[in-house]
Amino acid sequence: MCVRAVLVTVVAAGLFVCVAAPARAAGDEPPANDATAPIGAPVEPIETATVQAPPPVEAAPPKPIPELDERTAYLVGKHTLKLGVLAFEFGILQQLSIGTEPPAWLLRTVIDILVPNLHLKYQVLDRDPVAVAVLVAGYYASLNRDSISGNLIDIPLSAFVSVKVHPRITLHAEGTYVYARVVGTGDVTQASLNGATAANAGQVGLMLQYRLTRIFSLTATGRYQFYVSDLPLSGSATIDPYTTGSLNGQYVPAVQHPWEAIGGVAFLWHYFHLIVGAGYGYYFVPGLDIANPKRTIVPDADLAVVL
Amino acid sequence: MSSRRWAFVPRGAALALAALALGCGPGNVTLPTPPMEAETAALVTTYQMPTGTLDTGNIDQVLSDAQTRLAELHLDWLPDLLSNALAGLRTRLDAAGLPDDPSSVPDKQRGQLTAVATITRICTGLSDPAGPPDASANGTIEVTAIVDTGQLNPEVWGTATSCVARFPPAGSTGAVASTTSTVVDATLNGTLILYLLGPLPADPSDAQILVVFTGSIGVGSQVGSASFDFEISKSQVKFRVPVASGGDAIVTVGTTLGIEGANAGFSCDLTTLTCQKTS
Repeated sequence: MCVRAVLVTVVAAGLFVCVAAPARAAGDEPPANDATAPIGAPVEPIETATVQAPPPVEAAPPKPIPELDERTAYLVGKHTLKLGVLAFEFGILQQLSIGTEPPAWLLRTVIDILVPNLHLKYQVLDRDPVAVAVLVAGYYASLNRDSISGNLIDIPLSAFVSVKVHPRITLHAEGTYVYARVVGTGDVTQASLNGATAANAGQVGLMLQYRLTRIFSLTATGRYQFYVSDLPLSGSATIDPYTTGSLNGQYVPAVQHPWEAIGGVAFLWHYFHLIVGAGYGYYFVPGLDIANPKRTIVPDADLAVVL
Repeated sequence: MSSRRWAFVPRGAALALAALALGCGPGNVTLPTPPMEAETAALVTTYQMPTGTLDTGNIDQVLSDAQTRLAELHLDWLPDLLSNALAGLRTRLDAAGLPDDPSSVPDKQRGQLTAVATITRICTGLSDPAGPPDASANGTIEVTAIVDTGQLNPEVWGTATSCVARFPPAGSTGAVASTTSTVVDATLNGTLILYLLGPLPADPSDAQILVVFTGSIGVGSQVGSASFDFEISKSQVKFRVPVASGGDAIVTVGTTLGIEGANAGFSCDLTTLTCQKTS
């Protein structure tokens, strides 16, 4: 009888562990003192017996909750390759990743401008619930056309801070400084991205991520450019054998303080990440962080395979 | 491990500061103030509304002064030289996506350029041999234009430095009806103000400008100082003649000389040297 009671107790405890583990993985962690017996409860004599217990079975470690690693302080992880529509990312270390953005390369097929680009992301701090990372990117564009000889260099420098303010809610803050230069001759300004000429800019962003399940989150994102400089331009050209011309000036962006607000959802499966959203404002070109000068509906979409 | 991570912070901050420092230079261009801006604008008004009072009593003297001034203006070659320089300036501004018409209103929906454009044109010299032109031998004309927030300033100015040219060049038809068929070897030194009365010319014959010149002009071996102004409007030339009683009359060059005052207009025959009141 006693042996049977003990066996039932062991099996019940095992079942509890099996049920509780996924719940904790989903962020539904019980309070720290829930698992302990009430302190000060009277100790009653119990009958004991020695039984041959089955070998202990270790509970599977809780699955890590997939983190949103785009425009946040989180990284893809060591030796993880992420092939996304917006970015290819490879984790060299747990705290260091390198990547490039296919859309910038694909601009060549649309506006015949090749934009090689590379970025590095380093996680400076990861102490739950706070993580901090910095990202440095570099974009180069050769704006050579019939009568143009120019170069665009764009270097966004970003800092990300992610704070888990609640087991289900994470705030991702971002500060970005964009350093950009266009140097050349000819119609350099018109050769820029259909009017969205780069300039030195300071931007801030904030994303609220509300995790409904382990893989599904609601997101609300805002971005604001609080500073933009004029874009210095200089160049010279030979018009004909008798005539040379030079130009010195600056380009003043039409919109000094563009912004965008986007609502969306994120599905963070183990091998797939899908982000879909829509909003309104001035579309910021992903990565380059250059704002479209016209206020429109702003789409947000990304699909990535994580290997 | 965490201390190593924190050690990255000062390095990251240094990187950020370096990038910010790079972003600080070069500084923005400060637009120069066009020379004699107010005086030039007043001159434009004078050409539109002459201030001198004309009557049958002083028109002969005004005609005589107009003939003297006409000989000083070098209309047989100077407008060609200046119009060609402006056409080059238009080419440069167009290439940079800058406006070429001071009356055009910039599109507020787009970013705008503020810039200084400078054109240096090597003069053709007397012989203009094949090969690259020689700036040191032929001299140059340099003109400057400014664009302020997408708006072209109508005043373009420049300097002629020992500019040597032969007019008409071989094969040239000239922008302005030449009053002489003789070949002119000209030398120009001085300052120029070219006030745009219309868009910069794509073709020299389309030039609409007010020209103000101060300096010296040499024709052949004769060199003399000169200070004058005249207006070109699509190959038609006007110039200003002071009236003894005060103010200025505006003279239009054609088969006859049209002389406009504040109160009356006259048409004067250069052959008979007689004037008839037209308005």
